[in-house]
Amino acid sequence: MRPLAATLATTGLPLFVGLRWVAGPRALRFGMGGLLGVAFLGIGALLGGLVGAVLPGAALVLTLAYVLGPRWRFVLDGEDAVGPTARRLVVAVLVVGAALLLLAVWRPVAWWDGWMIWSLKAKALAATGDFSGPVFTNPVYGTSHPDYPPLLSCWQAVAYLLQGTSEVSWPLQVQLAFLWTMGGLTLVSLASRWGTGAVLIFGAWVFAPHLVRQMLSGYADVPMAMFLVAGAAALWIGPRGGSMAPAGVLLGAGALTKNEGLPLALLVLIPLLFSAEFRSRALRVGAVLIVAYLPWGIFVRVRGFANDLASAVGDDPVGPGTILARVPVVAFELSRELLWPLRWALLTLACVAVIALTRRVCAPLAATTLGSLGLFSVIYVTAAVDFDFLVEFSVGRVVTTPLGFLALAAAWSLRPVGLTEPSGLDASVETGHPTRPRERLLR
Amino acid sequence: MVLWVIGGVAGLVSAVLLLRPLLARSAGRPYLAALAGTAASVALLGATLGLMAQETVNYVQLGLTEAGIPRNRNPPFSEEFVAAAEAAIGPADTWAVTTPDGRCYDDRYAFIWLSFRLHPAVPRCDAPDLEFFFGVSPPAGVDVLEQTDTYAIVR
Repeated sequence: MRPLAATLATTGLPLFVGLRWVAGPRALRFGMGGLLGVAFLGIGALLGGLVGAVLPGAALVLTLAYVLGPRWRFVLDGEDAVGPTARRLVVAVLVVGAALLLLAVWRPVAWWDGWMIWSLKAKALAATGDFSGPVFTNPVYGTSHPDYPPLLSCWQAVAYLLQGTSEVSWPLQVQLAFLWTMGGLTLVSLASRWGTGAVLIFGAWVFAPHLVRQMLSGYADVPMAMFLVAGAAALWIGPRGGSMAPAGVLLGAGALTKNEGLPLALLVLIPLLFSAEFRSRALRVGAVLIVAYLPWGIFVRVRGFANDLASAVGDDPVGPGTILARVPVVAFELSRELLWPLRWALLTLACVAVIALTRRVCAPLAATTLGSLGLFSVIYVTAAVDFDFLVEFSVGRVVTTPLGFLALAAAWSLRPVGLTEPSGLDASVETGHPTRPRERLLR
Repeated sequence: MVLWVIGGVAGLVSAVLLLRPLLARSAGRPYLAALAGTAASVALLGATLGLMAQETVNYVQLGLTEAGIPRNRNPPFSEEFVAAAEAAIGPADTWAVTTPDGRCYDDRYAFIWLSFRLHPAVPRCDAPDLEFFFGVSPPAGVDVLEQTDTYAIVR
C-alpha cells in the first residue's frame, strides 16, 4: 500500500501543483504541468538534500510553486487549440503511456546505470537525508559518480522515503513512465501551434522505439531530454511577451538531470542571444536556469566532487594523433546511431528531408542541434577514459537530446508559412492561431 | 519472441489506424516526410513494447523487485543468497564478495549489483567484517556463518 501511496504522491501531487503553471489546451496543461511539477519536486528534494531535509525541502518548493504558479504561468491562448492530428497523437501518447505504466508496476530498476548511478544515489539520499553518506564520499562507490546532477535521484529518493523501503523499486519505474507521458503530451500539444507537420515530426521523436525503451531502463538520458526539449519548445513556441519562467524551470531541470544537461541548455539559449527578437526571452530563461542550477553547482565545487565531463577532457589529455584517429570513428558511430532504423525509425531522415524540402533552416535551432552533436563529438575524441567502451555504450543514449533538437528544427520548418515566404507548403494550421512569422530571425 | 511479434503486428496496425486518415490530406512532400517519420516510429514501437513486455515477464519469473539486469544477462546472484546476505549483515558491518570471476571489482558487474542490493551496508574489500563466497568455496579455517551448495558467508 505504501509504494502505491508513494507513487501517487510523487506523480499526482507534482501534477496538481504544475497545473497551476500552465493555461491552455488540456493536454498541454496536464503534460507541461506534470513536467514542471516533477521539476519542482526534484529541485525541492535536491535543495532539501543539501541541508539534510529532503522531504521538507520538497514540500517547501512545491508549496512555493503552488503559490507562485498563477503569477508566472505559461499561457497559450485557446482552451481547445489542439488540432485533430494532435488530438490523435495525444490519444496515442495516453495509450502508450498506459502500456508503460502497466509494465512499470512489474519492473525493478532495470539496467546497469540505473542501479549503479541514479537509483543507488536515491537510496543513499533516502537513507541519510543528505549528500554526505558513503555513496557520495567513499571511493568504493566511485562508479556512482557523486558529481552528476541528481535531480532524478532526488525525485526517486522521495518515493523511497515515502514507501519506507528500498527493496521495491516499481514506483521508480512508474515515475519514469509518468514522465514520458507528460513529455509526450507537452510536445505534441505545443507543436500543434506550428501545424500538423510539426505535430507529426514531434510524434516521430516521442514514439521513437529507442527513446521509449530507454525510458524504463532507469537511465537519466531520456528524462533529461524530455526536460530540455520541452523547455526549448516552450521557449520557441510560447507567446511573445508571456512568462518564460516555465521554460527556464524545464531547462534548469534538464541541467540538473545529467552532466551534459547544463551545456545542452546553454546551447539552446546562446544562439538566441544573437536574435534581437529572442534575446530578452533567452536572457529571462537563462536567469531562471542559473538560479535553478547554482545551488548544486556551488555544492559540487565546495565539496570537491570531480566532474567527469571536465576531467575526461582535462585530467590526462590525449595527443593530437589520437584525436585525429578518433574523429572518423566518432563520426561513423554517431551517423550509424542517428540512422539506426530499429532504434530511431526514420526520425533523422524525416527531419532532414523536411528541412531540405521546405528549404527553411532556422539558424539558431541548427546551431543548437549541430552544437549538441559537436559537444558529444568533442567529449568522445578527447576523452581520457576508455574510448571504445565509452563509444560503444553511450552513443545510443546521448543522441536522444540532439535528435529532440533536430525534431524541433524540423517542426519549425513545417510551421505555417508567413506572408514573407513563398507558398508551396500546405500550412496545415491546426489551431486557428498561426504563429507570428519570424522570418527575420533566419536571414 | 512471441510478445515481440505480437507487438510488431500491433504497432503496424496502430500506425495504419492512427495515421491513415492523414494520408488523405494533400499537403506536400515535407508533410509526407513527417508523416512517414511518425508512422515508422509508431510501427516499430509496437515491437519494442513487446520486447519490454518480454523483459518484464523475465523480471517477474526471476523474482526481481529491486534491481533488474540488462538484456541477455542472468542475475549475478540468486535471491536466496541476497536474502541470506541481508540477514547476516549487521548495521555497521562491511562486506566483500568473491565470485568465480574474482574478488570485488574483479567481477565489476556482480560487485556493483550487490552493492545496490545490500545498501546501506558498505563494501570494504581490504578488511571486511563479512565475506561472501558465491560459486566458490571459502578458504579453510575461516569462521563460516552459513554455507550452501552455491554460497558461503564467513566472518
